Amino acid sequence: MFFNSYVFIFFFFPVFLLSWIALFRTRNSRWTLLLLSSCLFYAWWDFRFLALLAYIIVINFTAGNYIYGLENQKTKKQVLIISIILSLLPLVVFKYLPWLGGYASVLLESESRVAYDSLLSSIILPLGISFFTFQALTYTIGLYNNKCSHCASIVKFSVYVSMFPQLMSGPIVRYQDLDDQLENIGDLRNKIDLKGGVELFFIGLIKKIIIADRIGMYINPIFQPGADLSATVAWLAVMGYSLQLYFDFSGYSDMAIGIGRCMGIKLPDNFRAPYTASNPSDFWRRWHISLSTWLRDYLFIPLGGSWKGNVITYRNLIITMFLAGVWHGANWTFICWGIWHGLMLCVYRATPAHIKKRMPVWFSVLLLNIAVLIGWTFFRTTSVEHAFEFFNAMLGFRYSAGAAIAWPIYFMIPLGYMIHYFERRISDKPVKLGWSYAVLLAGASAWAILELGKDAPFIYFQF
Amino acid sequence: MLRDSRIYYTCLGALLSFLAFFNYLIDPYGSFGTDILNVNPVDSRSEILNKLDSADPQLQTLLFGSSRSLLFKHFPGLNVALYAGAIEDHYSILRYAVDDLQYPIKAVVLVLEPDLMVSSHPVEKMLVKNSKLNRWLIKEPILYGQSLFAPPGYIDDIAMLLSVTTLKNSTKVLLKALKKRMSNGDKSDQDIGVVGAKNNHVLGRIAEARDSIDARLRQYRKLYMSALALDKTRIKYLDMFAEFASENNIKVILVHPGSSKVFWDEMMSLSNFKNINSEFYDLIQKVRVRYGWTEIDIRPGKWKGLPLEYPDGVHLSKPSAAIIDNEINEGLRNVF
Repeated sequence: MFFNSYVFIFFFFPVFLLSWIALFRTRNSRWTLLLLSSCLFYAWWDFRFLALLAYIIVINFTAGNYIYGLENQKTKKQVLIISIILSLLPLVVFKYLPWLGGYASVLLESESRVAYDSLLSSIILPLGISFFTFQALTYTIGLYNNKCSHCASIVKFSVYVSMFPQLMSGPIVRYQDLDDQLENIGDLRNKIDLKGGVELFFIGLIKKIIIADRIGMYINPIFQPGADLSATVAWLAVMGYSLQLYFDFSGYSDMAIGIGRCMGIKLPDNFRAPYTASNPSDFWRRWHISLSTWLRDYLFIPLGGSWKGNVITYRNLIITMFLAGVWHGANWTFICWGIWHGLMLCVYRATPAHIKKRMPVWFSVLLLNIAVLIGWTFFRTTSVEHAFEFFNAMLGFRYSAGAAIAWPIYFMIPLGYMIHYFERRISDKPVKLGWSYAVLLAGASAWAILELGKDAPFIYFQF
Repeated sequence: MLRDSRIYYTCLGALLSFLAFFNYLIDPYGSFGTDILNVNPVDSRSEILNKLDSADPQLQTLLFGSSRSLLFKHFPGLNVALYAGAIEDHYSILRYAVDDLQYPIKAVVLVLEPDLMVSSHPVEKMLVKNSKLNRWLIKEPILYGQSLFAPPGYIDDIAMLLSVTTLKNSTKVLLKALKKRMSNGDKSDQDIGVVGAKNNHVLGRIAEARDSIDARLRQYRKLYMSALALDKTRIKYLDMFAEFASENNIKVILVHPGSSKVFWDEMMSLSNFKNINSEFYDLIQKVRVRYGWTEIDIRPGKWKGLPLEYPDGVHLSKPSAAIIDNEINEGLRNVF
């Protein structure tokens, strides 16, 4: 089930919320309701993958029990490693095997190759697998590092991993951030914020349907391999994509956080106007915050962080961002995107402080945005060859008047950046918005509802 | 955050209620039985089925197509062209005529354009809802257990009432009804047709603007902007259509509808249009050769007969439609 569907907005969520607030009022009954609803939510897409969700829950819950019960640090570490391997196994099979396995097909005879290729292509990527795997792992790793407390109830742990608001695309919430909230879920007095929650949900819906999907409709044809593009069209398309991706993903996060508020559960922010950042470090403090902090705490710091000299720091940055690329998808383009961001972070770190200080803010923001757009080109294109084909077009080497871009994109891009800037102002200095904004928002929300039938999935579901 | 959420919720509730109520009252698909303006519902499929049900039992020829084929009035059999009629419509109607009604169909004319073979043109909801026709639609395989997870029935009604497509159709119906009442039964409008109507009132001008070449170009550009390739399911329908016709010894005359040169040249500057057209003609030629279909091509540069007029870029004028009518009838005589 998707948030942007009639069945979620007019059936699932109202029925759930009514039961949550009025019928199920004790801790255990709310855990049970949330768990069953989350299973229903996931099963609506494909019930077979509930087994996978259960597998991840059982592995990490069992590993947690062992880690908690053991005294010996060495044995604890072995349990942790085994649980990480077992948790990542489905990710490898469903996400990376079709890609890596494809390279092995050259070794086969033609008939077996056809059967082998069809076997690989029949593997379906379960929605949200990277998100719930990482979320479950934060508990096991956190417990090993004494960062969180032990969870004695498998129902509570299952609720933590499978909570439907953030099951498909995050934010990735750490166990320690939800532990107390889940424990005290029986008493939600002064925590349920229906007004603010529904408002935020609709803001997310507007971002997704009215901005992201519309931009996507205009730019998708431009990203066809082999399309003849002028430099202007190529730049507009990649700018459009950067806005589409932001509004799509932050729209989902807003909806998830809004649903959480309606339930009285506080989920962490995932975006803070990332394209207004002035350097790569700032960008990663604003883009997909729950993943970037996960990578920082569970990869970058264990690798040695930035305390062991410049060379080790650069190595750690490249490794961390390389793995961020791998996390996003099974394709060389994502790896290139990750390494590109690693290089951006290294260059920023290597730049002398006096140069950084002298640089005007507007210029830093512009420079950062250009670098980010180059990264998104890797992210959006279908292969590395296609990415370089696109770069050629951006540099004007493939000039042709062949492909035109739809004229509304000339309005959508400035509008998107304006909304983005507006979001930054509101996040820096929260203000209460007046009646004209309320009327405008109501109009846009109604429009988003009318456009629901298109059922366009969220881009980050594929990760 | 809003200072006063009440304004937001009141406006949102009022807007959604108004839109749902408006669509409910106009009822453009005839789903709720309200239809307060008492105009014919947009559902042309039911009309076609009625025509088929009451046709001559010896009916031997059918003509399938979209709005571009509606003016072929001198067709000797039954013209079952539909507004936005796509290949899945044609296949279902053919099956209904042959399997259910047992007409001894000997030949069909298939007027097919690539515009209705792309995924950005969705399968019509009214076809999916039509119990006489939807039996022949391809059903996506659903796992046994997955069928348990189906939305409650009222969700379909909400989806219909709160949909931008329904709103567009309701508005069209309303404008049509208003126009009819304001012109007070003036026949001159109907004789001239919408294109080029000498209307002085606003609604007439709206209709005229909607049917101009510029408007058609906008509509087609929008369609092709989000179309990357031919729809795979529709290619399957084309194969199924060809296979069924072949199994039942039904001869097929394929017609490639044309457009004005200006329209064609403008559209060819769009790479998606160029690519999809070339993909479509490669595909259709393979099908034509495999099943031995005959062909009439009236696209710009291919048509060698009398000059044809397309007032809005894609739809033939009445005199031009008569020329193609003759051509089709000639083709049918050769087939028989």
